[in-house]
Amino acid sequence: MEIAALVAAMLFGTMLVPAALIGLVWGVIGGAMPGLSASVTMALVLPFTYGMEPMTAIVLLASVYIGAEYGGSIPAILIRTPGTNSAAATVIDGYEMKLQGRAGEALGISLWSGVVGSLFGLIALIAFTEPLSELALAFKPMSYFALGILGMSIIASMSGDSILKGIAAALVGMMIATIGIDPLSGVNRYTFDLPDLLGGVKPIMVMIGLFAVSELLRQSGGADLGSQARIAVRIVFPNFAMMKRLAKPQGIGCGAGLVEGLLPGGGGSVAAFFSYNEAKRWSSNPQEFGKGSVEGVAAPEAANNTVASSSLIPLLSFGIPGSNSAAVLLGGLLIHGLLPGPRLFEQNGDVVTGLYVGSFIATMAQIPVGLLILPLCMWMVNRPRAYLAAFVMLLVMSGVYSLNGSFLDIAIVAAFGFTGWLMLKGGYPFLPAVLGVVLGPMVESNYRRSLLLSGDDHSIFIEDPIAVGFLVTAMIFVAFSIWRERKDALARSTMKEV
Amino acid sequence: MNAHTKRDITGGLALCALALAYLWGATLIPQSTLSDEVGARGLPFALGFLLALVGAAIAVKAWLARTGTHREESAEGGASLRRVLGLLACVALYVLVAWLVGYIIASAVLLLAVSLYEDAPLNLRTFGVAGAGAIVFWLIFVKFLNVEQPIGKLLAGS
Repeated sequence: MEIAALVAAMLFGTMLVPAALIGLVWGVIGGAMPGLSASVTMALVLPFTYGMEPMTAIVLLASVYIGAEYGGSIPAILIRTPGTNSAAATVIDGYEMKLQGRAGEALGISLWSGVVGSLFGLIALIAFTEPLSELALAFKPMSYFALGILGMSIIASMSGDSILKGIAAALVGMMIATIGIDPLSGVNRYTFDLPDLLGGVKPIMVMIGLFAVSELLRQSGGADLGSQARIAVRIVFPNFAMMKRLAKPQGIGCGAGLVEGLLPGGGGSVAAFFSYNEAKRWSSNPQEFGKGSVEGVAAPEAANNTVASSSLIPLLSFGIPGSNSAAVLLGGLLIHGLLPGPRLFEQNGDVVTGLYVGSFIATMAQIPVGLLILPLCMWMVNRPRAYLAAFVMLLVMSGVYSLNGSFLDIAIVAAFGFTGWLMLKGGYPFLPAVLGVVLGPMVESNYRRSLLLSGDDHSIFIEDPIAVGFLVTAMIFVAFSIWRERKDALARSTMKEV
Repeated sequence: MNAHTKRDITGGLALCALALAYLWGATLIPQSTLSDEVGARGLPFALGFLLALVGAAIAVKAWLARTGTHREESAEGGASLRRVLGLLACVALYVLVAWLVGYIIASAVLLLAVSLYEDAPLNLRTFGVAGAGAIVFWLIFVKFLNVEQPIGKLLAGS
């Protein structure tokens, strides 16, 4: 009864429902625009959440994530251009269906599979997050240090074809995190006598610069894609027989999405391609894959929508963002002073409950919103890129200024945007840099606190079983990633020789 | 030597230069009597040395692999440096105009500048989109959402 009353109060006494719906609409539109990934779409609204109630802000961001995962499939199916990275697998059969005049059916299957995946992910989120976070009650500074190291070990799998570049990006991120007042001794570091830098560089600035501004810079001077989408499409929702047929690939997608969301560094695109492969392997019609298979659309769409919720499990339990989008959501938590872990459930239980309820509303609203705003998405996708770029740039500038009313923030974000463009040019990944900014202070302060406790004896780290567990897991994770990188490099060189 | 190798060598050396600058900055961090054994300088020194090592390793690895097989050049960076700097100049223009005359005019200037820079035609439609867009943003953010935006030095007293 108590929970029912709390949910009713949230639904009717807060901005939760409007936040879920607005977030969902913005997410679908942003995801549908080629070039705006889920994380960029989230980063664009992040500064505007600054003045909101924490629960409203988090629900808005989570709903954007849910919407963007569906939105990404719209251009993937219609113009063979995935709106988000995780929609890349949907292109294979989705676009084939469009060529066969079945675009409406493909969009309907994508929408339905997205709802199934989101619901499954949400159930997993509710079931696993709080029990996992209870573990953190036993954490000491050594455990937090080791947890930070485990989080940083994601770098190994997020570094593309060069772990060295991932490490370099993470080190630069940690360097940015050292700007401001030292947490233990109180002296200034790298503040250049600027009062605005005393509080350090906020992770939100780094995220907006790296994800949103660098993307605008990268696309500058690019060609319009929209003209290909000037076709009339009406979503055809699957009937009961089709829903039954889709259940197996959706189940595979949900399973893959759950596992990938829990694993640091997995992400929606890995889950989507993995589930596509497995759905083909277990299908009774594998010959249809690549030729407009309905199962080939259902599996990856269920997978990437499951990841949108399941990747929040390690984020809310331990504060470890496993993907770019989860990192932006972490930015949303941090700007409201909310620290993930058991204290989040104890002190801000309403925010967590609000997140669950808001995510459920956004998930269920995907069907009507998806049906209603498809024409708007088509209209947006068809706008000249020049105007879209201008409006996105103004949205970024307006959002960044609103954070502190400071032009220095705009300069900082522009500088990170330029840095992001250089990183893209040089093949350096973003997520390690973001992890460095977010986890750097946690690693440093807990390392130093541990040494204060032990009188500078490093054996304290191996006396704490939780710390040992995290450090060993981190080492296994890094060793596996190095082994995989070497194996891939060997395979590449063998292919070249052949 | 192909573009990929040159890019990695340049990137590695740039990281070394950044590491040296950062290490120099670390020497300027004051010592506190409240400091623990590691101190405020501890992490910056470690990070600086590590980045220098990693930067050197990236450059050396690229140099050693220069005669080996190469991957296709990635086009992920997209636009050229000149285009990127031009777009950043539009941002600088926005800051200047916003500082002088406030949000609404600066918004129109930014929309117009970026649209034209991104190859929109110089016609009445583009001016109309910029003007209408600025008004819509002002209505949404300033009037409806009450989000703080620049007032403008020249208009602040009026």
